[in-house]
Amino acid sequence: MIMAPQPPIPSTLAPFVTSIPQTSLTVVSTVLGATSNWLVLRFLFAALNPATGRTTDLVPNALEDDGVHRKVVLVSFLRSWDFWRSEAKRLGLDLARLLNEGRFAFIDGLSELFDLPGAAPPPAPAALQIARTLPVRSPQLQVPQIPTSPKRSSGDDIKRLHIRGHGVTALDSLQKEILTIVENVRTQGRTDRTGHQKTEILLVIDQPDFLLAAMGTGQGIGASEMQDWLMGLEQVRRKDLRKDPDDEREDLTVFPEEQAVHSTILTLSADSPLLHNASAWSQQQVTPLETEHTNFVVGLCHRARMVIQLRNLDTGVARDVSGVLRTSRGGAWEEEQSKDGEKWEEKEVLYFIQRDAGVRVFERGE
Amino acid sequence: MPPANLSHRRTHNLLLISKLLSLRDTTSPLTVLLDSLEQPAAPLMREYIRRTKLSKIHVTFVSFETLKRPCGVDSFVVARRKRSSDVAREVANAYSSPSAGGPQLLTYHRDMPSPSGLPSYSPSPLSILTYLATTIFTLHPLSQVLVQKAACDRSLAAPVFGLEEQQDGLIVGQLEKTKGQESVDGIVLEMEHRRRSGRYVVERYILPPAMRYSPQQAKEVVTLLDDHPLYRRPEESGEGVEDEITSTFELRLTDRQRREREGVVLPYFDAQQGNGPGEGGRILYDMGEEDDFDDEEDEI
Repeated sequence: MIMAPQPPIPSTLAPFVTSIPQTSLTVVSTVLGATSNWLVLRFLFAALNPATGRTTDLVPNALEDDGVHRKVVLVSFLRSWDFWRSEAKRLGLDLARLLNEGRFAFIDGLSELFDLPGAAPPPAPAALQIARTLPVRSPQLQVPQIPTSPKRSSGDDIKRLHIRGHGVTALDSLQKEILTIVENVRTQGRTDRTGHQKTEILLVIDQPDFLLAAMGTGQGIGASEMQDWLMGLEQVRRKDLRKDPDDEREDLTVFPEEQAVHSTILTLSADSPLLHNASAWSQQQVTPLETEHTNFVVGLCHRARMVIQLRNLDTGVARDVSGVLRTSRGGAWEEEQSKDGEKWEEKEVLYFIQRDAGVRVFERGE
Repeated sequence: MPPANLSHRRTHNLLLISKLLSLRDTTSPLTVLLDSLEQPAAPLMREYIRRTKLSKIHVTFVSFETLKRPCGVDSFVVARRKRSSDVAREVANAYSSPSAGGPQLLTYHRDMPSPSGLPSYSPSPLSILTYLATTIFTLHPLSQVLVQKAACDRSLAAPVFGLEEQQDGLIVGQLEKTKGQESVDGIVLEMEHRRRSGRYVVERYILPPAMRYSPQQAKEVVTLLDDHPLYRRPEESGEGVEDEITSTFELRLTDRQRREREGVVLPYFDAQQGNGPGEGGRILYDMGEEDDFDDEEDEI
């Protein structure tokens, strides 16, 4: 089936993807059959490509007419750098170039999360050189690491997260690593450009629920710890960081009295067993993971301004429909916002991912 | 609780909600708002803050969930990763006078399961909260209440929304914005208020969206759900007309007639004030003139 090439961001989706207000949290929920990768890429595209939503021509310029310098930090727990880079390229977004320009940072939470720091990097699988299109959830796909490679080669600039210790201390170290990257990205823009521009950093965290599932309450990481961690990532100027050891204080002096990130986007799994077994209306025996995951996801939806829910078509698999997208208000939705953005409303649409990675979004029956 | 008549409820319960929402007179020391993703408590919190601003009460907001200071709050305490004693101290510091202890308002997400690490013999946090609370508001969106009522009116099972639907990938249900021409925005507050005497009051109110009234409005904006035009049953509106039957006969009673009618002692009245059930089936009968008493009949 040949379809016309679609614009990178379908016009129906544009209001949800482009205008993200300050200090807001957006939750994208996914199920196994309807993953959120394409939508995350649209968020990246909207933030990094200034021409979105206004004109169709792609101006490779970071500066908008409002003088805002938009940057993105992507923390991915389930998918590797190569995956994101190749998928973004299909959309016309060169993440590697943006990375070198300092407008984009990728944090790999997958490859060496449980490796001990300082240990030798695992040998890259030979098959990886050939495989360019990557399966989605395979844990063996590491970023190739060739020790003799030049500085700017693929994967070398990628920050990899490591879990150290247990519980809150482990999360604190992750938080520190991520916030250091965020600050690096912010300052890079300052040195490149005139300095007094407003910088907006969009933090995208892909499936942090992996951390909850991998660590769990046994290791002292439950839903509330995870939520506190995410709250810490959103903002650093809180006093409670100052209570931590002295090295944290040095970091804080770097941070001005402003928010670390402009807004945050999270993708979370919302598959039925993870969400409904433990929900307040269910009567059956539940596992700790189910309870914690439900608490984590529902709690974050309560904190979110907007919840975008992806799911399979209710009536079964169809050849020309990939899934259903529903946008809803989260618990932190404010009425004031709806006044200026009258176009924003709760809606449910169908989407179809074409062979060329373009996405067609349409109403039912259209 | 017997179904009180509507005008009585209108007078008393509207006064009560007005007192409760403006946190006056120590009507309710601990109010618990049970919200869900279908109807978050944030609009109701804003309404509370708006009213306290009008009556100039100091508001301290203890946040476990947001880093953003809500509009109109006097002091803002982030409780992230703090011990409860530290939070209590910060809250106390927020007040100028040391003897602080105003009414408390608390939000609980009722769609979150209780955490897994609790000791198995202790009650869940929700049980403790609802036990301690003096007023409980359960929040629902008006559109869903209307859909559920429509189903109940037709003796169908009431539909459920959001997480309750238990559908793969669904967290938040979809809100129906309009019904006919009228918009169905608004929050239904299901109230349970416990009085000091031990009696309780149950009522359902509706809070219109904040856009419909000015922030300075002092007049009560909350109404009874039963008074809402979309919720009220259509036949109830015809009730007032039924009293006035147009007829050529005078069917109503004058005051004198009513008094005399109330004075009539009915024949069985005597039996009701008898000395308990032991008296049984005694027949009260006065012989009339025309009665012919038959002796022989008793002998059979």
